[in-house]
Amino acid sequence: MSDCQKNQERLSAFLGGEITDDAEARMKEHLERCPECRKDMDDIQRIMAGAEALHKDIEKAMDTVDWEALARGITEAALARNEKASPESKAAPFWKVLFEPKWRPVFAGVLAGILLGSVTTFLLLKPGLFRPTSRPVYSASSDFIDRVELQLAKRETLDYLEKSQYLILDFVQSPPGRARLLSQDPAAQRARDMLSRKRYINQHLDKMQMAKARDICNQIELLFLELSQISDEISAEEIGKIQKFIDQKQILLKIQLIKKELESEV
Amino acid sequence: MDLMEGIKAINHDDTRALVQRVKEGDREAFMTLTRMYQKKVFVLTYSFFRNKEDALDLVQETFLRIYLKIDTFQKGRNFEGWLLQVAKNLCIDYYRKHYSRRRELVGEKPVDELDIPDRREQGAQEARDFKDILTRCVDRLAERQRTIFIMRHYNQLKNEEIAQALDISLGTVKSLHFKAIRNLRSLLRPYLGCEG
Repeated sequence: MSDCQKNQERLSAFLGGEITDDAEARMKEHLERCPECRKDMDDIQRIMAGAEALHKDIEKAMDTVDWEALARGITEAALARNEKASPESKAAPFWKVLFEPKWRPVFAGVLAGILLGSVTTFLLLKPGLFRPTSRPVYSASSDFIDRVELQLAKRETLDYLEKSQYLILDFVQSPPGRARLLSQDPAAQRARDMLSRKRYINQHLDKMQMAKARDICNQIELLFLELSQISDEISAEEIGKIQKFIDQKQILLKIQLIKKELESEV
Repeated sequence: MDLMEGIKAINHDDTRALVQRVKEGDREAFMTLTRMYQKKVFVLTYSFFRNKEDALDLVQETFLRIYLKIDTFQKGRNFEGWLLQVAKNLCIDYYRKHYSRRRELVGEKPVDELDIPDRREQGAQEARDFKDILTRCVDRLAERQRTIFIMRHYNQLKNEEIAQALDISLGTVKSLHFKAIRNLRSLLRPYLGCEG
């Protein structure tokens, strides 16, 4: 076994072409005694012989080749193929032309523009930044709204009637001479204010079911129309007539009744 | 043999300079490069096909491919390694296209599953078959072992010359060669009639 190991080393030297005469003699001696190593050696020599035969084939084939002509032929073929390839590169596809270095700044600009536009659009459309966030929406039924409107109209009418009552009382309770003086204070003005206010509450009175209130308000309107035209030239007699009209129509009483009615409903 | 002289005497600095000139469009440099390496490529293609016409076609195709792709070759890489790799890939493609009838010889089949004729069928046919099988088995060796085996036996270079050409130590060349022989013996075992 030890001889076989030594033979393996010699085999390695034999393959390396470094076997000495002395080593060769020892190897031969071992091979005669050891069939296993002899088989190894036979196989290796067969492989070497096969490789040598192949080498001879290659040499024979190489002998018949005109190498200079081959090199020239290859060079010409390479140049011809390159020339064929060149027109293709000249007629490069459109997208390839666009990616040439000279177009790169243009591409960069377009890209930057698209990015900037996208960011701006996003920020503008995003709620909460430049666009106020939508407030919460409260919803109520139309029935509820109608009731609220009616209540407001009644309060408004009540207030109107109360103020009208004070104004008429002032007028009625004043003696005729005093009434003249009233014409110089803001009584006429107050009456004009009340007229314009009447125009405002008319829409409520028309819409809402307040027929009685509307009647009295209309009468008061006429009265205020008269009062608003009070001037220094008006005679005491005429003032007395107006006072008599108020008394006859029981306007103050009616106002009082309507007020009570409305107060009970509000 | 003087035919092998061209294979042996290649200066790598010259190669680098020539490759650079080819990149710059120098036609003469390409022709010189072709002269320098065409025999090496032929050895590879011929050992693949064992047919002179096919081997020459593949030599031409290899250099044409190299010429078109020379811009992709990076400085500092081993030109010879790249060239032989291109040649080998083209050989495999060509073999698959034109030798499909004998595909089993290069396929994924292990060598011991190949249809190897009986050793006792003596004669010229047997010798030719052995060379065929040996060629295929060499191709199945690991990259470095195959390179050493081809340079040593087909190109008939000495160990020192191989070490210098591949820029490796003499010890590495010997070790790789020994491993190549051992693996070839293992691959060829059915044909060689080994039992163990």
